[in-house]
Amino acid sequence: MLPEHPVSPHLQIYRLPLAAVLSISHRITGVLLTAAAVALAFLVAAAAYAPVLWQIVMAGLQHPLGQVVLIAWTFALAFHLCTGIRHLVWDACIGLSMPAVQASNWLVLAGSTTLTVAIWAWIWA
Amino acid sequence: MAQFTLPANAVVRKDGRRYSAPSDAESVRSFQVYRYEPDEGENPRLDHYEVDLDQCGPMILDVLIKIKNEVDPTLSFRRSCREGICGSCSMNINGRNTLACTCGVDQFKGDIRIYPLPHMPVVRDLVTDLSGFYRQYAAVEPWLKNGADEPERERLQQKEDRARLDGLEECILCACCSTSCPSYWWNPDKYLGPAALLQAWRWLADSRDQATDERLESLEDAFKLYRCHTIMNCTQTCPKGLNPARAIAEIKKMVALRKS
Repeated sequence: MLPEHPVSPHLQIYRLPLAAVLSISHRITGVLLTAAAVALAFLVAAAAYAPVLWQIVMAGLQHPLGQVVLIAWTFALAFHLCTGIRHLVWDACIGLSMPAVQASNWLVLAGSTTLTVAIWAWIWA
Repeated sequence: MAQFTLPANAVVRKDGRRYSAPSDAESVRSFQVYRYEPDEGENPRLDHYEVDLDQCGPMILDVLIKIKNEVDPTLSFRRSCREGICGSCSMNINGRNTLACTCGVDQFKGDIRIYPLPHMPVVRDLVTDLSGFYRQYAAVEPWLKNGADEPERERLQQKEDRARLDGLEECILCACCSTSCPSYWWNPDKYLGPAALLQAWRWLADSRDQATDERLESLEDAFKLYRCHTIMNCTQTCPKGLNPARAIAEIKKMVALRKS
């Protein structure tokens, strides 16, 4: 009796193209943003009962580390928005040729970076 | 549930055999090739072959044939036409799926790693079991369905109707696209995969075919069709330059438009 066929290597050896990296990043940012939205809702509800809690969190977010978290959060939101819009366009069967995909890869990255910079320039101004 | 790591019996041993090139060889390249011999009862391993490129043809398939003829006759792989039309020698070369016969050695620098098509049952070495892949092709019923009586001669098409089949009927079923798709890796039994769906669209797009409703009804399924998340690996890797991702998007669009 021969042993069961082994499965050939996959994630271990496949050189993921940029579009695939952006695809999995879209998933991951989606999960993180959902978790963050739930946490935010709990925080707002808790602050309604104990205003001091709100002050503690606000102080934490004004700390440089807190600012880094907020910037990352903004970027995740901007990135998920841009890749989401690209998915909508793709679902209309537009921009699915390989050159168009390679161009929109960079457009998505440039767009989400620009959005993040613009939002934080406005906040800090 | 998707398993992202390899099960114990599939982990690749690094201590493979080494075969050196002749000492007078001038342009030597090293090839690391996935090996699995079912009768040995051992895990797969990576063998290292040094090949003198001055004494070898230009394509990866030439290298494999040279290794099999002159160095190690136990190496197993599929090949036939050696010109990119039969789809037999599909494999993973330096991390991307392609046909060994149309893939030139000169497009890579350094060592070249050759693995079987990803996430497939390995029969031996670079030979994978494609029976599930062929079952998926059969599942889309890839033939003309036209309820009308058999015509006396060919069914005629307008030129523009025939043009819709360009880029669809050239598929050689090499399985490069389906086995490049992470969605297919995690649901190889339930998701039809890009190759089968490209052929599903080839018949939906055919002006002579009249089974559109029946075909769409069978495809509209959370797994069969909608496991496609437009990751685009299929289109990026197709050695024939076809676009399965666009075909799948067309099917989804057709389903949506029929409902509205």
